[in-house]
Amino acid sequence: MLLVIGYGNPLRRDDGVGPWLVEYVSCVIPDPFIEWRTCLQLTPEWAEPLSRADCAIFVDATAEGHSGQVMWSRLEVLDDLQSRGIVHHLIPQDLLTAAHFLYGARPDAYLLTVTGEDFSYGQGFSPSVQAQLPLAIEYLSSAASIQALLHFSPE
Amino acid sequence: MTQQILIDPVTRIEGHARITLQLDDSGQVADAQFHVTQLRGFEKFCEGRPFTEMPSLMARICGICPVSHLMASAKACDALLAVKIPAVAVKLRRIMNLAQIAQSHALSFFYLSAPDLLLGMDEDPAKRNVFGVHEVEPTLARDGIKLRQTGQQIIELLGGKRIHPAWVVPGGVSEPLNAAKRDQIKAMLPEALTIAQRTLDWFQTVIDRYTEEISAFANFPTLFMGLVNPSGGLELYDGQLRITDPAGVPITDDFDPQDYARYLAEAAESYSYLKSPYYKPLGYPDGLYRVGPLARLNIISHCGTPLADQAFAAFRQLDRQSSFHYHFARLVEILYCLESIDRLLDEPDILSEHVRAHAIPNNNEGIGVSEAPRGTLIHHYQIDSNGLMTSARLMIATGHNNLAMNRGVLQVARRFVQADHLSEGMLNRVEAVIRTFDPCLSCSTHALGQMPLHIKLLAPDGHLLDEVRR
Repeated sequence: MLLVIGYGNPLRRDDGVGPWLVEYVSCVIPDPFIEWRTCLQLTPEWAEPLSRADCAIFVDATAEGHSGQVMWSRLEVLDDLQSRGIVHHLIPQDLLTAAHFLYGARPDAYLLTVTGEDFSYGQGFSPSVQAQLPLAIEYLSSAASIQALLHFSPE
Repeated sequence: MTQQILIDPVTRIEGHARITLQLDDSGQVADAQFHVTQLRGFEKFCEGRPFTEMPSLMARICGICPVSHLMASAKACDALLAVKIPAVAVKLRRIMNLAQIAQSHALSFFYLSAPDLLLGMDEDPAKRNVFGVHEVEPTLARDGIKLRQTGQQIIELLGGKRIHPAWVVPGGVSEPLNAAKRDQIKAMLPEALTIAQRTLDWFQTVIDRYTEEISAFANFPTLFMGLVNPSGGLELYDGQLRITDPAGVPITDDFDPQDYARYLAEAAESYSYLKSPYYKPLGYPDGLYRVGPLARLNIISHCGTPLADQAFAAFRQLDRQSSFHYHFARLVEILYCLESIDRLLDEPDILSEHVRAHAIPNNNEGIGVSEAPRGTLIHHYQIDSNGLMTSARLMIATGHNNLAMNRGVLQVARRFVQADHLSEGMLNRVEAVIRTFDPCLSCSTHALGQMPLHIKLLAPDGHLLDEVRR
């Protein structure tokens, strides 16, 4: 199973780009091997479904980089699960590490980010993020399709 | 010379708060204050909005227990409509409320408090988290995740999403339950019940390690308050309000929650945005009382489900005044919630499609009361002839416990804190007494856990004597 998780707060403008992208692309690629999920933030419960996935793609907004920048990176398991000592709010590497330590799973995992500039209260994206949505959609569509093919291509 | 210790912020609670410990000339703790430093303002900014928006709007008060606010708000709106909602809608709302309480209790026990209970109050703070628990008790860590996930999935199956579901509406719920979802929920329950029972069994083996904390964690006589059903059993959605003395004996007849203002009033202190409700006949601050799992189990005669009643019998052997036993009470209630969900899903009409009563407003005032994970939750609305809100009064579960939390902090600080030697374990105990109440100061900030503990020791003239950070 390919698990795609878009997370962020849709009421904090650009922070909501992750869920928005996942909801949009899930309508375009109705692949039975892909599980599309959205949430406000990552919490420890996600470690369990992640442990059942062959591959995972996290989709998030970031403040790093220049506004509207679309970035793709591979995620690795952290050495120390406890280093960040957190309860509610996790980053994808925490979940990946938790899936490994708690459930013995090590799915391939990737992170797609879009750099936001406006994280204030409200709905709708800043012009720079809005302008890059087509590129982000293409990235996510292609990545999800490729990963689904790689992991679930017929013998 | 008096000195002050400031714990800012308090960690592993839901929201932002700090604690000030005032020392006397001999370095002993003379006073303690629990400050809630955030202001939400919901009561004010909902004025002028249509009352029909209230369930969705009020649910935004909290990211951890939106369902609880949905329940109380929808019940207040039912009262504005003056409708009796369909029986199946009550059952479906109950199921969601039970799932909410189970998942919230799981969060409190496994994520926030188990690190202290398993690893000890003096353990390195970097390890005192749910993943630190894994190193010592991997099953406990996985169980915590599974149990919380179960509650959330039930909420999601009913309401369409885990957080801020818009399914609970004035007059009932927006959609009936279907057979597939019912079967899906029922299939989750056996494992969840096994986990809840296993956790309770484990907790009973370690509880004796904490005799000192049991004796000092907000352990004093207070009144207790909560809803009860007509037979005096545990009630989390409806029923009558009961207020008892410290021994669990009712001090007044059980009363209709609509009459809450006859018995309860609120005081405000300059050091906190959290109001301090009190029992009116005893005045402020003598009328302090406790709500939530400990109080609920202290005021009832039985839970009403087999496993919960078995656990309830063991709970009744404990010191009922100690707030440390909120932890035990949460585990009893998790069992009750899971068993009750199972029972409700077997009701013959549970798939009925008549789930909502429609009406225009017929009252200009409505009160909704239900039990949230942390205690009794009251929403009191007034509207004008156009259905626009003119007033909202919210008495939140955590607020009811404010006086007891303050007194509990003082008790723990006096027992464990010595000004000449600030240790991590000592300060963690001051925070841990707050955690027993599981206060929800505003979950929607989602900032807990990342914030450092910052303690300042100040001389009366304000200069810094000592400082500890983590």
